[in-house]
Amino acid sequence: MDDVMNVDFNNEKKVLCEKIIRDINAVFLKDADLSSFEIIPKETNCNKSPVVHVDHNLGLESWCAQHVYDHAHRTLISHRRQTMQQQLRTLQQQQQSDALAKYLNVALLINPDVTTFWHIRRQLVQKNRLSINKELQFSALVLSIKPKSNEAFAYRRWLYSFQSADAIDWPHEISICERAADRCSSNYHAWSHRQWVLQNAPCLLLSELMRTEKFIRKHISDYSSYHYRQVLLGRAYELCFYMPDESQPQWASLRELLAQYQLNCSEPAGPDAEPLLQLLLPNLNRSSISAQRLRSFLYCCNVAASDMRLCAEQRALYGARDCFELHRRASLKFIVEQCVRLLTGLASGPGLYLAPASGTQSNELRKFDYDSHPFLVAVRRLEFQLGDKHRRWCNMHLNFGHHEQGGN
Amino acid sequence: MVRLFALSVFFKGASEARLLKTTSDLQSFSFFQRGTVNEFMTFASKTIVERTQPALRQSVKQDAYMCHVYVRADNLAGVLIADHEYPHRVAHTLITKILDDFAAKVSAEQWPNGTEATIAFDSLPAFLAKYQDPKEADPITKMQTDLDETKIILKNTIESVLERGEKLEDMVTKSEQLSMQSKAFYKTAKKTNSCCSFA
Repeated sequence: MDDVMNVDFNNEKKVLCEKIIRDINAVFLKDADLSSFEIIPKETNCNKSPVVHVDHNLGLESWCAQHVYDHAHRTLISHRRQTMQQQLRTLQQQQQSDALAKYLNVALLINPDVTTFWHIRRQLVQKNRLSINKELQFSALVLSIKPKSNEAFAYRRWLYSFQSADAIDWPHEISICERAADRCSSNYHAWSHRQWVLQNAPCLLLSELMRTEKFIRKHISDYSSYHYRQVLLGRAYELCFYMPDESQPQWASLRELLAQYQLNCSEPAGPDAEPLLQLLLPNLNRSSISAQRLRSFLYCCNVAASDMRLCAEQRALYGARDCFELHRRASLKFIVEQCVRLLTGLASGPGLYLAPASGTQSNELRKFDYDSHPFLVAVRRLEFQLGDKHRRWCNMHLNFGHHEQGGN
Repeated sequence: MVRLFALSVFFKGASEARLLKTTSDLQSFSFFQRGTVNEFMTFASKTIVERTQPALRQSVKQDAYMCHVYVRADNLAGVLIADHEYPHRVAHTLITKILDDFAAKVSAEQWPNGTEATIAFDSLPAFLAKYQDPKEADPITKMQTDLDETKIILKNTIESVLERGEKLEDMVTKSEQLSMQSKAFYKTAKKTNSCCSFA
């Protein structure tokens, strides 16, 4: 008797789960612009559909989430076992794979961490059973409930590998990263994905420089965003990026920074780069360095200098924080490192913000005479006043200490 | 993140605090949470006003939020809910400013019996939007130099504001302002210790 009741109960549950999954699928079919999914805490079944759909937002009441997930999971796994054991005829397979999509949607929305399910999706995409655009939308929906889902970001990169780079809406991709990073601080996966976007779409450099500044002003202790900005600036320099615009006061932040180091480059702040270059790069051998490289050098150093000022301002408003200190250091390091690189002829080296000079570079650097360089001397003098800890950092990362300690 | 969530003005009556005007910006919460979060913010604001003495400033920490409250000597009270990173001093400066504006526009006779519908004072939303960036408050901060930061009382939880014998959970259960749905939300959030828990 008990058994019979149990079977009945199980059947009832199965029917209910099927119905809920069908309801969710209906929403998917009806609304092509779903923007978010979430699980709504509600502990009891109030005898109405647990699927809530308002203004392109989809919600599922929590009391049924576990049962629905179990059911979808079981269905998917048993299907997978079947296809592996016996090669179904193609037609049959196709029919089944269409039915699979709705279980996959539900299972991954409730639990986005199951690699197997993402893998089944990939297989369906390869068989043309799922459309790439719909899949991009679906992974964005998963990111609305789990902004740190690496699987979803990886899936997007995989989907884009089938499209040509100029057909991709990169600004949209950036906004997806930004939303995910805004929802979850230190969102490593979102920022890595954004770096990948940047690699593929260098045309975004300028807008990214503006966007990230806005972001770090708001998310003052999310160092991931500062780090991305450092990578971004390095990339800009690597690609010889600068603004051709002559109208605005040129390199104002850089001039201000030099003034703080008590260096005089004040011949009225005209558009002439010469006095600035003389200060930062005295006796530079110009024959080997292109004019674009120098323009980019000034542009990027100016961005770094304005970041240093930003950090100081933020510190005055919010009090001392590690992020302000670390980002100020990274920006200073950028300026010093680029000066030294240009002067020693290492300009063409790989990425920036390198670890303390290593191997062949350190030989070059060892020969480099810091004392004959007024800008570096001034930086050293003033930075050394900022405490022992900072002094040690300068010695190690700006190479200021190598002659004091006989090389480090 | 530096963010303001809600701003409300209360009148602290003899037995309970009366909500005169409120506004909130809950874009950073997921869609179906917003209603509940809003209810809880108002509930918490009211609770804290009722337990703050006149002429006193407090900043009460609760989960990821900071409730800044100031009850003036004439029982007009303002509550600003921000996150932890919003500078406390700026928050209290803003409350002072908004209460001054409010008192200048709405006469004191209307306070004890006012409701959100009867009070004509519509600048809260614009105010909340503008001061999302605390830098915007620089000019006001310079004018109000008399705010003494050391006089703001810091509390680590709402529980520490409550009177002896009071328990937050009982208050949530008994509250008439909170809907059934919000109470369920609170219970579940508490159990899973998820980030959406408010009070």
